[in-house]
Amino acid sequence: MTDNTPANTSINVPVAKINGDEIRRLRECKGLTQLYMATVIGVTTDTISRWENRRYPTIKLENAEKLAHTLEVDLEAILEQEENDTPSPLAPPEDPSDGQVPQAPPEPATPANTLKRHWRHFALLLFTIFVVLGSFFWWQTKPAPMKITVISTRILPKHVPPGQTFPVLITVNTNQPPPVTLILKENLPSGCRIISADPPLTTEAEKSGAVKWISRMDKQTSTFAYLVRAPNTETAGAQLQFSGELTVNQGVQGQKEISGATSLELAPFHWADVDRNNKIDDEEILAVYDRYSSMKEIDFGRDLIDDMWAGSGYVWERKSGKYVVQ
Amino acid sequence: MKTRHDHKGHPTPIMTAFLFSLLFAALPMQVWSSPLVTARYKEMKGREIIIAISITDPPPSTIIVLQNVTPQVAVIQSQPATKSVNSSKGEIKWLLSDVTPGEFTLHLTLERPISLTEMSGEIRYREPNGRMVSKPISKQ
Repeated sequence: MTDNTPANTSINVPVAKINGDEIRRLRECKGLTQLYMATVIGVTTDTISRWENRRYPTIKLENAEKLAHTLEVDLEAILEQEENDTPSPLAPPEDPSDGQVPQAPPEPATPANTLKRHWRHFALLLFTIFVVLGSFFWWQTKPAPMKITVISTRILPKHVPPGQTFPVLITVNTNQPPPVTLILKENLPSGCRIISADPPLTTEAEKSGAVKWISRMDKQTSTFAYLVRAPNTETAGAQLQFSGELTVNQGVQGQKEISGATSLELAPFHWADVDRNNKIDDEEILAVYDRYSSMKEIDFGRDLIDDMWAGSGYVWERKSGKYVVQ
Repeated sequence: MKTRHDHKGHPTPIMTAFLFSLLFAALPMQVWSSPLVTARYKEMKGREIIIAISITDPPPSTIIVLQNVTPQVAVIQSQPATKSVNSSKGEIKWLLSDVTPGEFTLHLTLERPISLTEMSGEIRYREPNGRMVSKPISKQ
């Protein structure tokens, strides 16, 4: 037996599940129009059409009763004969024009439902955190555009006796793939005279003491070396000041001024005798070889330094302007 | 999130290997590229002394070899040539430049035999960071 009694929703709005086909058949049998039906029941013709077309199979019980009355049949005659005897207690009227639309009742707050809802929130939160952190790390680790830099550094001895020669090194480092064309300009202290250079100088202005290299680096590190004779002056303790600058292609970053040592003192000690004890010890000679052995084209006085190291010491004779190895 | 740990919370071998890889990758390259020079007496018979010097790549630019013998004992022959001989102190020095990786031998012939107890030697070179290293010549 089919139970076609009206159902009540959990929010106490009585509803009924209607049979649209039967309503249409009864209306047409009685020669009634949708307009007439709508006017009598107090709804629109669209609503009548939707009821007949089963677009809103569940309507308010009050309207279902009006509908049955208009068609002059019992309410049961227009209700849906359900296969399942139990009408859905949760089925609300779905027609918005069928008066006030009751909301779907909330799910019962069982522990399982609560856990399910919390898990969804937790998963959403985790996903958001993952996306935010992922974006942050991607932004942090994405390769930054490489800055091309060129750095030049001057290496000078601490001191040199007046009128004696000493080596100067300028190292140029770049992260730009070779070749790199550059102009290196060095201003020698007043009274200094350049003896030799490797690579050879491009220009030399004797009056101003400015020397220049226009060079192409075929490696990422290059060394410009030169040998200078200090001025033969009586002024002990005088400081010889060096300055210089590097010019490279546009778009290359780096300091223009040559960094590193800028001065050395006129003093009666060999330039390799760093601790000024009139001896070249093991540490000093190893430092000389490490630093200057690459200067193949410049005679920086290696044999003399070897003799000083092999001997017991040396003295600088101001009168003769020579070192005497002991 | 699932982590690569066993049920006791210890890192798995794969994770351990990964962490060690990171550790070694983080070590400065200088650690790996420091030259290693060792020296030993290869032969000490009578007046002949042969010193073997083992040099790794990259080599230092220069090595100082210092050999102490009995004072007043003259050097008859040396290959390569000595840089200085102080007979009164019994001190012989070599300055080896342009050295290459591998084993380098130094031959010394003295005027007369000396006892092992009277003999000692040392090598000195600079590491890339500028620090001078001194090592005794091994008698093993």
